[in-house]
Amino acid sequence: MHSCDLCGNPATIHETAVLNGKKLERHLCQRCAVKMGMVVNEVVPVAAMLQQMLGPAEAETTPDIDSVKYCPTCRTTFGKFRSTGLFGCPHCYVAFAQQLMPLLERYHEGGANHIGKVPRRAGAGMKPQPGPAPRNSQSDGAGASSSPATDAHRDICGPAELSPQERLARVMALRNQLEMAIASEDYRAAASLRDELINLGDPELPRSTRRARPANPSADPAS
Amino acid sequence: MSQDPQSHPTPDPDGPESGATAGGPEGESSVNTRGVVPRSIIAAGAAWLRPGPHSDVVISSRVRLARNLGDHDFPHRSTSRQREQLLAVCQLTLRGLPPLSEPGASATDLASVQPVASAPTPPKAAPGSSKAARATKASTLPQGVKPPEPSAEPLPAQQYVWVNMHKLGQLDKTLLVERHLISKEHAKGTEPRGLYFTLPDERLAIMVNEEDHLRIQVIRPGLALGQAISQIDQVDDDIEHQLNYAFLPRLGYLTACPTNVGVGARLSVMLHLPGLRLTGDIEKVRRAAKDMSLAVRGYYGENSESVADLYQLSNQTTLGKSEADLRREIEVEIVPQIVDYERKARRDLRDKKRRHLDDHVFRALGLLRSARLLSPEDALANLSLVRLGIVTGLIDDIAEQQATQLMLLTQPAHLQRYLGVELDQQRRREVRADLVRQQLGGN
Repeated sequence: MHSCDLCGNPATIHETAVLNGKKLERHLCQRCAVKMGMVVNEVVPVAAMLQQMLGPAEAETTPDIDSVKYCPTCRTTFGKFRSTGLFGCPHCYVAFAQQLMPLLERYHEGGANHIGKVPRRAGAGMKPQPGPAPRNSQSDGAGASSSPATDAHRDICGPAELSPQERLARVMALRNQLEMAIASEDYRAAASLRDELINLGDPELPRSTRRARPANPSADPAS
Repeated sequence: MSQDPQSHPTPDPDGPESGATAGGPEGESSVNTRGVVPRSIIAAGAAWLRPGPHSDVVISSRVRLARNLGDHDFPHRSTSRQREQLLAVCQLTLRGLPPLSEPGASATDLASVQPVASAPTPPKAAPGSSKAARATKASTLPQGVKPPEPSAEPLPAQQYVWVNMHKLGQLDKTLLVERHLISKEHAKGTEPRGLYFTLPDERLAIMVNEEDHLRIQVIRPGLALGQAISQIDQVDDDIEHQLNYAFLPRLGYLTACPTNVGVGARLSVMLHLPGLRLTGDIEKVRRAAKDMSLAVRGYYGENSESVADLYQLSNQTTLGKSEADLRREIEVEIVPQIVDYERKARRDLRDKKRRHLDDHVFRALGLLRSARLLSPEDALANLSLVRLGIVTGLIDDIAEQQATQLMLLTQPAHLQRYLGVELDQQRRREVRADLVRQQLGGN
């Protein structure tokens, strides 16, 4: 019989997740599970789920500094996001970086870094905005404001940062998939796997399969 | 070549002439009189319900990408005017999309992908020639397609159709929801919204101004997520070539709701699991899926109950896993197990509980062959059991496709568009019963 990881009461909810090959177990009581935003009911609408994770905005007893924060681009407040579950514009991700990261990790079960497809012109769609400037998201850096960015802003605007172990696990998995794709003559899949390996800077990638990806500043295989 | 969509009010001269939308119900009036999906296609059945890999259990595979333009507010935050502008920009972009390559014809693009050492695909290196080729191809399309008599002639060649959703009648909206071309939410909204899709196969459908600026979907029959992914990838590349997507390297594609951020992809398979329901093992599937943090939903997505033993299995997380990871989890790790499990349940029922299975199947068939009034729910629940009877060999005088396609054809909007008349609920129950009796050889 497990007790709740958080409060020590008898645990009724047991969750096993496999993350990067490691088995993670969580044991929670009903109350903490709801607090953690784990989906306890069969289907919970997304907005309700977010609300569950964040707690209802109006239930705060002290004036909540977060809920009056707003995105400088579209003026959506964090309180508004809480109640609807929707951001107002892409720049909200930068404006609310600090509040958002723990939420994302919880919702995406530990996932906090994008892995997967990268548009060829990554970053071209987001012009720098007033307020903390997106760093690294602009290949030319033109117009980047010099105002000091917080850690959270730096994190969210920077490249995906995998730990060395994560990176290695990822590279190994991708190499396997690449072999399989080539074996099954799925060249389209192979090409995208190769691109992803290049992005990760896989040193063992045969030289002939490398190619320049000028659009992505964080993907220089040589560095 | 980068284009700021907003500073680009004049239509690309090549756009309209490219012919990619020729014959589509562009004019709203023609949409209303003729129906957004030609009757010949409704009669021929939906392409994604046709036989495919493992389609005795896996009805269809679908991939949906959420994409947004970087310097625009998300649709729910936009004014009507901004939505109109975005609609115009997207329409212009989408109507210029090259035709989808046939899944079987992937050998032709081998040459362009195989030499991996070559430079990145030059951005539309020869736009002139490819556009010309496209135009030639399009000019052979039947202009202003008249709906032929059901199954009278082969379906028209592939064409794109643009629909201004907010100007579409309710019946057609419902029809598109039933056909899984749009979400219920997209049907409800009255603000400027669009839909772009391919006919006759309806493989590609792009919703504009839904929760995100673009919701791109590819749907294929059977278990074919890999194929769907590579096709949607191609479409996504083509669109991204012209529009600037909202993207941060750390967080991936930025979406209105942060539950979609990252790859922005929802991969789902629709499973037909009557065997597991009858053996009472369906809960095990739910639990197994949940253990892999996959969502199990009913026929019409979020919050819908399972009807006709149809279940949708899809990924819940989008950040921290690549498209290939997500595909592997669903298509390689869990679905084959469920398929085996369902087939075993069907075998066990047939071999060990034959009387029990016969009773379920033939009661259902008897009901469908005799009913004089039939609700859509009754039709679906019983067609599901008839389909089970067909694939297990109990029923041999009805084709699997007949039962499967009837599941869609008996839906309210389909029924009315198929028969070419608008009917109230009571009349629909009458004609539904008549249609099913006629198609299943009842009396």
